Amino acid sequence: MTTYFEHNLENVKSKLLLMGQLAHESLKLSIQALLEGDSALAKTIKTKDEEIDDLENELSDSVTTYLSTHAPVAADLRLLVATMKISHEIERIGDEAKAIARRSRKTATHEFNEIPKMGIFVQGMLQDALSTFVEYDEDQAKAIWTRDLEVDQMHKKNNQFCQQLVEQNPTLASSVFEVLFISKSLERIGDHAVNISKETVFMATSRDVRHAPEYKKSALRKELE
Amino acid sequence: MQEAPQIKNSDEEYLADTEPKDPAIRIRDLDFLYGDNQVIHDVSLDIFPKEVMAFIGPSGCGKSTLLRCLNRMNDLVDGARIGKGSIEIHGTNLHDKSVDVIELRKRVGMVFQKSNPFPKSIYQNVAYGLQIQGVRSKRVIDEKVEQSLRKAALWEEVKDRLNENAYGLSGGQQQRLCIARTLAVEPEIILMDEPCSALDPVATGRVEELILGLKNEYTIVVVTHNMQQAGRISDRTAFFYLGKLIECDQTKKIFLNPIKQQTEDYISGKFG
Repeated sequence: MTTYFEHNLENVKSKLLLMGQLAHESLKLSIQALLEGDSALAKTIKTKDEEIDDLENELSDSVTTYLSTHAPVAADLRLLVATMKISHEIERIGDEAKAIARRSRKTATHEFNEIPKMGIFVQGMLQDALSTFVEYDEDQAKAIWTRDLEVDQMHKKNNQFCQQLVEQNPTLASSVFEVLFISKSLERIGDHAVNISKETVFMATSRDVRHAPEYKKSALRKELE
Repeated sequence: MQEAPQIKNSDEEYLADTEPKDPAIRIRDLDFLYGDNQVIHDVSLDIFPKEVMAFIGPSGCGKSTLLRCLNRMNDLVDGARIGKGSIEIHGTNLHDKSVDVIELRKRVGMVFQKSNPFPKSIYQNVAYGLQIQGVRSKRVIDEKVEQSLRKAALWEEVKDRLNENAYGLSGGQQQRLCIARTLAVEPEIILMDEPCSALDPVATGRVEELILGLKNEYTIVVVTHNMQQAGRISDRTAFFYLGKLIECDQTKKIFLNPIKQQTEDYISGKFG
């Protein structure tokens, strides 16, 4: 039998996953709007972001109430602390997706270089980070941190590509800058997915790996070499 | 869930952080019975000098019985006896024939669930223990009374009415008076059996602050049903269930990530 309190915790988890789904969908649609030049689709993403923001507020309210009335400990406490932090990361992903959609309407170029691949790649990272929240898998969490290095590489390539484009045709500069900012947004989404998966490590094991030297990008890069 | 190591006092991190020290209280393989009813089963535990150790667990789990074993208060209960094992304080077995129980209870003071001041003045409540120890000097007693009341964070509230009856104090003040009474005879160890269970949040806060202040000088063992209180005041926490020590570790670890599922279920209120 599920108690009333357990039901509240399940409710918090469900809200977080719903936020995650919405952010994932927003991201997917924003990339689609960019690639297809679909301005109407880009506009719908603003509504999704508002839904994400509302859910973050609801979640924050539920967690605060639970903390103040039940003084949870151990796994319940870790779940709630991690949920608060993860919800913030998801909210930021929603904002980045909204920014991608906004910029997709401003750019006139169709030269996207690594962006389509990067979009699919970070969607996968976000999906897997949310999966580790549902069912903890340390290897999967760690794999996300390594995958983020690839995202950084793709962003670097986009950066070089955009520089070349501007050098070749300076009149494209403003459009190219929008593409570059979109690449930066995707790179940030990769970072948020990493942060989510690091919070799941805390949630499952109580280990705080956010700033652990062995999991910093430089250390992971060395390990790969 | 990872299995707990076999060593019952498993707080290696805690021990590594501090100078190696001998335990103030060493409990080994203890069985304790009331008649035929065994209430403590094979408990081994070390309590170190100047730490606050919290005993937690559901009602009837043996935590108060174990606490009362530490100054042989259970001797007063008919049929209460140790089945096996030992309790040592600084290397002396409490059940050695040479142990003077009165002297033991002076070294190991106790504060009870409900404040129990004597029907005497505030001054006499604190002075009483000294007087029965044979201290006659008024000057020495005055100094000790003031010192004990100060340590119990009560002096400022009662200094102008020391000769008034202790029953005129509030519940929280009475409990601090009982703590002052315990401190007056200069114990090394203070046992507290749910010291705040009858107090309001303000009085509870005062007693908790007092406990944190006292731990610089005393070893303190507290039995509490209040999980948050254990979290706030203790360095280490021991969880008991059905007379067995289930887990003992740093309090932070117990409340963030206990090793045993039973501990987790209890502190999260999933069983009681």
